[in-house]
Parts: sequence; structure tokens; C-alpha cells
Amino acid sequence: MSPKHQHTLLLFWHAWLGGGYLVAYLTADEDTYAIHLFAGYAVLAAIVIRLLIGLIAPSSKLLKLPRPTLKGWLPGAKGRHPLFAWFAAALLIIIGASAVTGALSDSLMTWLEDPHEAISEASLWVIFGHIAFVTYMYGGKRYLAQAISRLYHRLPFTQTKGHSI
Amino acid sequence: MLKKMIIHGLVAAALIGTAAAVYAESRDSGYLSPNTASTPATEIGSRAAESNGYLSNDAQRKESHKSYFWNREHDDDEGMEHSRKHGKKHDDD
Repeated sequence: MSPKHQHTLLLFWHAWLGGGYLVAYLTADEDTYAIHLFAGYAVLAAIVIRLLIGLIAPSSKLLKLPRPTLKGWLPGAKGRHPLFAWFAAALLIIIGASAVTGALSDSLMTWLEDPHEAISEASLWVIFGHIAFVTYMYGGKRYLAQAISRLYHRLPFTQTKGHSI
Repeated sequence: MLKKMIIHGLVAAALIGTAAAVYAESRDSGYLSPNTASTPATEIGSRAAESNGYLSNDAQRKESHKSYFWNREHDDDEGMEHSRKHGKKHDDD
């Protein structure tokens, strides 16, 4: 499979997981339990498929499972920011745990209902962290730097006489 | 790229939500189908009148709200009919 197709597959999977999670989270009510169940199983299927793809294609740069390391934090380290891998692994684990506990609490182990709820609430914050980090890395960093620079130049002690833009 | 991913996610959410709603609807209708087949919604008033006072004559009552009671009532009726057909008697007869 070409890298372009792998990228498309990964985007499709990401949309599937995100969409399924959104529907499952918004329908976590007794009135909409059937919808919650369906969306939850869609999320579980997405996680299982991702793990299987990661196991089948461990050599693929795009499709291999994330392997967070501490090496990336060392000074002078090159490549992507290590938080990408850490967030990816954390999300796979916490959303997977949420989906598995949800599926089990529905059928075999009803006592898992409370842990399922707690894990799901925690997973929402990991997702928010992931979104904030990605937004910062792919645009936010630049806008923040521009905003700080603009603010800095407007400060009275940084303005010099005869300075014109 | 970020906007694109958000749009993809929302489209997927809409698709999954629609599929889930269809699933929920079919599950509900499957659960109610024996009941609704025997008791169409247009006959609620007359059915209630025939039910020996088990239910009110409120024709506005929704099917979903009375399904449990209707099921129980119909189960009883079916049980009675079954025992009549097969010559068995209820304990409370």
C-alpha cells in the first residue's frame, strides 16, 4: 500500500473513531441507550481494527502503533514532538478501556458501569489535551508567536523614537 | 488540515449517528411489533374501552408509554386464550 493510501486510511480511521466517540459521548443517557450502544461498539471496532493493522503492518511508518519514548525529550533530539506518540498511545489505551468496559458492563459485568463512566470522563480530557496540543503545533504556535511579538512591540518601553513600520 | 479533520470527524459522527438512530428505531420497533401488529394506534380508544377498565380511555396516550402495561395485558389475554383452547384453568378462576 502506498503512503498516500495509508494516509487516507489513517484519516478515515481517525474520523470513524472521533465521530463514533462523539456520538457515544453525547448519547450517554438512558433515553438514547441504543444509539450509545451502537456508537460504542463502532468505537470498539475502530480500536480493534487499529490494533490489528498495527500488528499486521509493524514496519509501516504511518500505520505502525505509536511507541512513546523518553528519547525525544532529550536536548538536540530530532523528529516529531514526542507528545504526539504519547498522546496517541494514551488515547488508544483510554478510549479502548472505555469501549471495553462499556461493552462488558452491557452484557457480562454490570458492575463495570461506574468504572466505564469514570474512564469515559477521563478520556474526554485526554482528547481535549490532544486537540489543544495538535492545534498548538499546527498553527497555534505560529499565531501565539505573532500575538506575543505584536504585544511586545506595543509595550511603551519597547518603542523607540522615530520607529516607523 | 485541522479544519479538514474536524469536518471529517463531524461527517463520520453524522453517519454513525444516523446508523445508530436507524438501529435504535429498528430495535424499538422490533420490540413493539407483536404489540403494534395486534393493536393498531388508531384503535386505542376502542381497545381501552374493551379492556375492562385496566386502562383509561385516554386516546392520546403514546404507545411507548403503555407498552409495558399493554404487554402484560396481552400476555394475560393470550394466557387466558391459551388455557381456554387447551382446557387448562387459571389458579384464580
